[in-house]
Amino acid sequence: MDPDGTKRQSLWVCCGTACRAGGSVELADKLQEEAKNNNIPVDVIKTGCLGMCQKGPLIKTMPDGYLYQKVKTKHTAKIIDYTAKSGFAVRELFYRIDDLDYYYKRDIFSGPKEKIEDLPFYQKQLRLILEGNERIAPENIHYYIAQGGYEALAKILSEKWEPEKVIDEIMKSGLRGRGGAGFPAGIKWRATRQAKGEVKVIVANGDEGDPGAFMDRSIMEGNPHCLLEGMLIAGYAVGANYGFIYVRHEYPLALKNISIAIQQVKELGLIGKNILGSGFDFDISIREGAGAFVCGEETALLVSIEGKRGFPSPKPPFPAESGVWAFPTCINNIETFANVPYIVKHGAEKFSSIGTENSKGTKVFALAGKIKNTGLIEVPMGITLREIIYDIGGGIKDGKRLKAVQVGGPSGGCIPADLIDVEVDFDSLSSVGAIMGSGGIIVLDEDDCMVSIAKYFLEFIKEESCGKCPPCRIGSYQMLEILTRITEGKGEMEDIDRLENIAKSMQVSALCGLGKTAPNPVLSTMRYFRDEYEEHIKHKYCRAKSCRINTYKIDNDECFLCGLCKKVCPADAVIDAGDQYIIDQEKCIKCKACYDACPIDVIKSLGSGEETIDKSTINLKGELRDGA
Amino acid sequence: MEHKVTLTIDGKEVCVPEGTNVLEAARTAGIEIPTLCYLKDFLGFGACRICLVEIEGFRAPVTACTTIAKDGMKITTNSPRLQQERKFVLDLIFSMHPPECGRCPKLGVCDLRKIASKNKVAKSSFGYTEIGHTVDDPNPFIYRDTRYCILCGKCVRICQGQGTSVLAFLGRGVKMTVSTPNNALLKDSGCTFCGSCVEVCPVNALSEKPKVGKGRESKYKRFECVCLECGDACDTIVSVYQNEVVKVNAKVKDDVHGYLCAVGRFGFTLDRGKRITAPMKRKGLDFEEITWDEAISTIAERIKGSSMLLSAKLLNEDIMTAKAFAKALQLEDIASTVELYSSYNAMKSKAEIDDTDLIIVVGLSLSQKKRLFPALDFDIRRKVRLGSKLIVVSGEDLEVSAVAEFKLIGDVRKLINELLGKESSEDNSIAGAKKLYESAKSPVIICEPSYYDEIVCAAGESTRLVAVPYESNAKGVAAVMSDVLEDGKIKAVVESSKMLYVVGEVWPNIEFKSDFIVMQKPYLDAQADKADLLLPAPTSWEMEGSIINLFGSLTKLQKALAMPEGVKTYSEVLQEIAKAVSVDMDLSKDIEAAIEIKGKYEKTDFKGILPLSERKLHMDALNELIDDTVEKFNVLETKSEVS
Repeated sequence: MDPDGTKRQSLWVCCGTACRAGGSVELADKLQEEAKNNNIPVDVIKTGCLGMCQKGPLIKTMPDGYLYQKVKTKHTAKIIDYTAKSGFAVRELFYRIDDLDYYYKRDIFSGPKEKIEDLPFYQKQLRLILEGNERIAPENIHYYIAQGGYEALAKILSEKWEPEKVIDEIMKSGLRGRGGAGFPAGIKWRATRQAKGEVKVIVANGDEGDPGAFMDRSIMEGNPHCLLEGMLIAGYAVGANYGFIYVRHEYPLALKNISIAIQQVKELGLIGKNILGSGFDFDISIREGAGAFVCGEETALLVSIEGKRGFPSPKPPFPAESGVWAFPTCINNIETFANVPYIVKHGAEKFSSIGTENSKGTKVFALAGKIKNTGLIEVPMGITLREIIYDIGGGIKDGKRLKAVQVGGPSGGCIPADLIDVEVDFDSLSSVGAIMGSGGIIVLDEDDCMVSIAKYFLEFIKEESCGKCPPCRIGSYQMLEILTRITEGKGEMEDIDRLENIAKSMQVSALCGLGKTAPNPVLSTMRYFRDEYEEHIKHKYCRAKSCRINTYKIDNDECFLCGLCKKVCPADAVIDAGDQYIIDQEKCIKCKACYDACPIDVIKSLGSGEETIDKSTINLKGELRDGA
Repeated sequence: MEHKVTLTIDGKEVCVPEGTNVLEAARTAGIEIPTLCYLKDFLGFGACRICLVEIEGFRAPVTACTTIAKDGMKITTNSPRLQQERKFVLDLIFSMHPPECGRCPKLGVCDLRKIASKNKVAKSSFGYTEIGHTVDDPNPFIYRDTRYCILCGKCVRICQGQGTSVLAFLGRGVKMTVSTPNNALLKDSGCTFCGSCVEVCPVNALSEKPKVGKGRESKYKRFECVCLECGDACDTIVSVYQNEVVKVNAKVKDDVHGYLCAVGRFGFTLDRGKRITAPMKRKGLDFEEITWDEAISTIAERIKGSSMLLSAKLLNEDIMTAKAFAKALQLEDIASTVELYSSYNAMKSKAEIDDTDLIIVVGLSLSQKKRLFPALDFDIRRKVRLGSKLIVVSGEDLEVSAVAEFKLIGDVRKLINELLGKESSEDNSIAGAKKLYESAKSPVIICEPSYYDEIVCAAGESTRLVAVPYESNAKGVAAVMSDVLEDGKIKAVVESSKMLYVVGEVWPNIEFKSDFIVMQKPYLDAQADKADLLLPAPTSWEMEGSIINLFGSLTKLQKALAMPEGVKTYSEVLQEIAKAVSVDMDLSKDIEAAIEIKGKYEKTDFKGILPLSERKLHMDALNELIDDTVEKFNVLETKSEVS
């Protein structure tokens, strides 16, 4: 509070990568400048990602806790004038439910959402790790310390915990690795502690490569100290004195913020020799990766740290026995380390009270795809996919229908709409053919062709395969060839069996986790959407109309001869026959332009062959909840 | 005592030393697990996925080459499931490997084809996608065709393992290739053209250019020979096709490929001058051919009291004849080229490095890049990779010190006394090296011959010590005729004014002062110009016999090619001369008895005639020839397919 009794205002401007792209850094600078010009005392703080990237740039005000969304530089004067000077809200910047979706009907009169906790996006979240992003400035360690940062480390060192006790605590908490496979962190730590060797190493895996995933990036950018503290505790527990953070080169902001954080921690003596007088030495260094997807695989990452080509190597030996330069190495995901300070600070019981029987705590997800609120979310384990999509994500865009949810990136799988009541935890997800992965959720609607989705991920795998073993290198290539054939309408029915055989053999014979899980997108789409594959092959029909194999015909009974179809046709395939328009199938290049242009939807997209498919008979999986 | 582990492979119980991988363990039991990427002595790579085996208690099959054998493992190497996976992998590999094996020059020696045939895979069910291309690399020796490459990585690993590090993987996924950094040409990327990569390539992706268009490898006749070009005296396999040497490669010992440098592997293609096929007499600036009878009688006339210079590249058998010849004719002035760089005493040193735990290199210029004892450099690196330690004592920084525990650079003689003798030193690294030396179980010292005496004085006579000669059979010369030869006599011999009979190829820049010089050598090169009478001689693969290599062990050479008409061996000529002057020679056939090294160490203080810097001269000559050939080569088009 200022001496005159008014509350000093602070503006927390989200400077995560997405908001940055929306101009949030300039925004913060302009706010600062404006306040200075008008001589108004206000703190403008650049924070990490606040999560709701779809509505960025975001500003949170304190102490009132207003959340402004889609803030532009034109609003700065008003924000300074209203909020900073007088403590009033700029109401036009509040979040509003922008379309009258069936799901939000009951909220139609509720007006704008003023504060973070009012937003449905945040209501179902449980933000243990990401909470820090809202409250600290990543470039200043004192914010982190003021929020109780490094307390967990201090607790361990001052109470002189035995390293075994730390590991016990982690074991008790039930923390599982957040990198994807969900291996219990405690077991890994213990294995590293018990491994022979004087030198041991901690490695944080920040090589996040899945398309559409940015969980680790947001933690590294927004809350780097949380990661450092987690690594320090891990180092103490396993008896390591060296830590590496492996970050991909494509994350410049994460690199910058971590370097600043390491610098500041060193200045305060929280890393280095004899930390807090305990006799424990630990040093952390950053390794920049060149952005190969395979370097997220732990054995490849470790050799990449050594400066060699990122090739995975067969396990055993596991990194806990022989990792970087053959030293026992404990390698965990960024998010795993970020959970550690919370567990130590609040106790294993509190942490394990969150989540399901076998999956404890929370998980950060990157929500993307055909959903209203894309962004970064943190939810307790055991929440259903439905809650994530409809409550947090706000439902499907443009009133379309949900078709499937792709969870876990290229190694994950597609979960069809009728299974979205599945609980989100390690075991339930794998039981339906997906994996937790590092936490990408991509929502697919009726316009997404499942064969194309499988093809998309396989294309990614084909490009990113390191090339070391033939099953992954050539297997993914051959699978992609077959899928391409199918999406071009040249598939044969045997191709489905062929795909299945390659996929199953790849799972056995590929060298590393990347190759072994590479066929998952194909297998899971074939499991739930086999009829789509068959339609592509048998009827040359893509129900999502995204593959250019459908046949287009004009229903002349209903056509009112507006001629738009003829106008848009790039191939000159629409013939004006006087009293009707006809599509010349030989000229037609199946570009769908006429179909999109028709104002009354009388152009039908059909399969070829003798049986023409009636649109109404197609059973589109994933009907919506009636009246929900 | 080594720990042993016992495991069961396909029902057979196998007992192997701890740390052995499953693939090796199976081999000891006579079970061959197929593999395309395994390179013995290197860590398992696990890339080809062919050597998958099932281990009881393991969820998924694992690669045998990367799995260390543990007590009680139960392993199946050939279940239907594994066969299916192997077929799948082969099916995939063949989808990106040229399908017409009938046109491939490697048919019959191709590992991929062998494994595919065993697994009954004829061609890929996916068809053939051509990935890769014939690499336009203008060099005379190595032919690259990435279409055939199966990316097993053997070439990359051997290149990096031996320290040249020229080849590397480039790119990802199906576009991955084996190439040089930035796709540079081999000659611009530091390649020494040793051809180790060619040696290990299981398919036709890398092959020797000289054999391109010369039939199929499986049709070659193979002979065990020795490269006589330098002191390394590497064991070679010489392949002959239609009475022509088409390929030379290193001998395989216990599944491990040896090393050959460019001189050894591709030296047979070099243009070393015209082959001498008949005796030739000087006529003005030129030579004219004469008959053998004329030549022999010319020599016989002058042989009494003449002097004789023996090359240390001669085989033991020829040296024995020369010894008998010298004795019979009572030739006083006889010397060998060994004296240029070593005492005969030093050349009697022998030791093996197979079981050593510490190698100390003293004063020897080793370099793969400059091809100075490159095979020794390779062997030392291999020993280091397998766990031995290395100390380098040298006046200059050597490439091999990259893998050394300690490198001591400075005055070599001083360092010898500090490291091996009783003198102490303040220097930390010398103290460290000394500690390592003292704690080593069976150290071996490898030295330049000049330092032999110092080392014996400093370290004692019982030390395992090898002086490395600059010529291939220097140790044979020392063993066979050290009772006839005398250190340092060479000076008098080459300066004598009487007839000088030079047997074999000798140092290129020796100044001869004799009136009449007879040379017996295979090629009409620059040195031959100094001769008054030239006699033809066999090349190294036209001879049969034995040598003593640098480690002091007897190695046999097979005769790979017949001599051209008109050429006689060194022994034959000596015998004919003896016959012409009616002297009986006392010829013994028992090599083993003749080469037995007798006597004990005597200090001689003789360190050779040539200064250290000039000793590598004859190696330099060949190296220049190789480099010139590489430099001048600019023919781009060579097809590797059998037409």
